[in-house]
Amino acid sequence: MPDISLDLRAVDYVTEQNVALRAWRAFARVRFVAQNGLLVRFPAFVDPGAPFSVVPYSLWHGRRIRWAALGAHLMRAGKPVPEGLLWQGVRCDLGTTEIHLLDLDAGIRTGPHRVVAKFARQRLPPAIENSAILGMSFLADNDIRLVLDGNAAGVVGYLALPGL
Amino acid sequence: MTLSCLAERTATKVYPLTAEERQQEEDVQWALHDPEVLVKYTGEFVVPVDRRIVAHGEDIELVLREAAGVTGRDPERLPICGIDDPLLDLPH
Repeated sequence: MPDISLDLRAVDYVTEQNVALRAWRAFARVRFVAQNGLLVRFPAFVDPGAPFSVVPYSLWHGRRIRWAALGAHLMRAGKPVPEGLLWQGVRCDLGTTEIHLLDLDAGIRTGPHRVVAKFARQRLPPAIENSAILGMSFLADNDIRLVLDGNAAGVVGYLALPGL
Repeated sequence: MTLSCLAERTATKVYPLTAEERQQEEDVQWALHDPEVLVKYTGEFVVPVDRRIVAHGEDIELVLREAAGVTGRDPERLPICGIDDPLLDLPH
């Protein structure tokens, strides 16, 4: 069962009351599959607070990744859920694509791993376009265990993959 | 998730990293930590190649096209990353 190291990135802030704090985000090193079959790089972070993954417009359109639509409307108990496929106020299609995960220390790439995601139909401001999000469904769909260890020195983490 | 569309899955395999994949990651790590890059290109996509920004801008397609012209490489073979505060709290 290979473990894929996460790239824990921190940014230091300070409040107007001179309180210092450090914020973290867990990036995975990933490759998406382009329409011509080549693997293309695009930033992605793991966010278990997101129920679905998110593929920004700049990724699926700009890097021309291979994906398949799964629908444009969500239903629950037979009733439509209009806000279910919005991202930052932009309408999305639900779709599926594949990624590969990289671990530089182990010198390996694993994949393909299935990603069910919201595919944004429009470009958003750059700060939002810069990264894809790997949500809870990504962990569940691929039997991946997310491990994060925090202590005074910082946070480290990895994705534990099922036996291959 | 037990959607029928997920029933047919390609077997997941482990591959050794290629030199190109490793170089791309090293270039991106350089871009994300270089003080000059962080100041100069905030809010933009950048294409780092051999520790040099070969193209930058807000439109990823234009940036990749420019980088392909500069380097002579296919856009798919170029790394790209966003230079931004990655810690904005984004609702889902």
